[in-house]
Amino acid sequence: MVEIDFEPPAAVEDSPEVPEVTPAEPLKGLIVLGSGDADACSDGNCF
Amino acid sequence: MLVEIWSDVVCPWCYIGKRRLETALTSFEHAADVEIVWRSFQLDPRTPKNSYEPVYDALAKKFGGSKDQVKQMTAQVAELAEAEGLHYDFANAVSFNTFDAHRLLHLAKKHGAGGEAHERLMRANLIEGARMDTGTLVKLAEEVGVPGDEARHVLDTDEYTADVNADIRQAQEYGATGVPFFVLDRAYGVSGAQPAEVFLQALTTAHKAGA
Repeated sequence: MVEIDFEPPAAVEDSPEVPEVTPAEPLKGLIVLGSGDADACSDGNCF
Repeated sequence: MLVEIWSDVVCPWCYIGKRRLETALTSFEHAADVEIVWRSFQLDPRTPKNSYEPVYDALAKKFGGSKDQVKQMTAQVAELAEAEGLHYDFANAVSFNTFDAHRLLHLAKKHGAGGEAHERLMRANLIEGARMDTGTLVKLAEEVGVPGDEARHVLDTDEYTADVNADIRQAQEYGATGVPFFVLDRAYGVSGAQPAEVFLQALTTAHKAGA
């Protein structure tokens, strides 16, 4: 019989913290309301 | 509630956004408590001063297309503006450097006519096809109650330069790259000419947070 050196997976609480995926914040320091793709003139281009 | 609006007087979406916010305010029960402050933003600071070029020509140069292509580009915006009661006339609109217009708007703000002046300058540029030179700016300022001699003095000097630059710097600190953009009670940001319903929701959210 072959013995397998099995190491159990780390407990959930020992897992490295997975960073939350957050959307890019277009306006720093503000809570952004509404959709991010509304019509606007951006970088000098309106059309 | 404080609503700050960064805008440029040559920005077609800013005028549309203004109308949509106004529509939202007609349905907002606390509209009387809303103070609107207009902030300066220059869409294209590289436009030479004292240069007045038809918008179609300026856009054709900028994007490298023909005048017909430019007409097609602007047609969709003009159509959306029509839905807000704004009859844009891009065929006669004139491109110009808006820095002095913003200095004048700060003078108008001092006279309690910041909103009226912003509306008047956008109308002159986007709808009436006015050549926005010093004489026109003085006349438009007078129409909204700003003394003509004060308007001329501001345009002949560099007054309010620091105020315009401070507005632009604040926009950069927020990370804004386009206009219009709206900041409610310095806590909530709304980018672009959103539908009136979005503005109404934003007003309601900001009011609840501040209540």
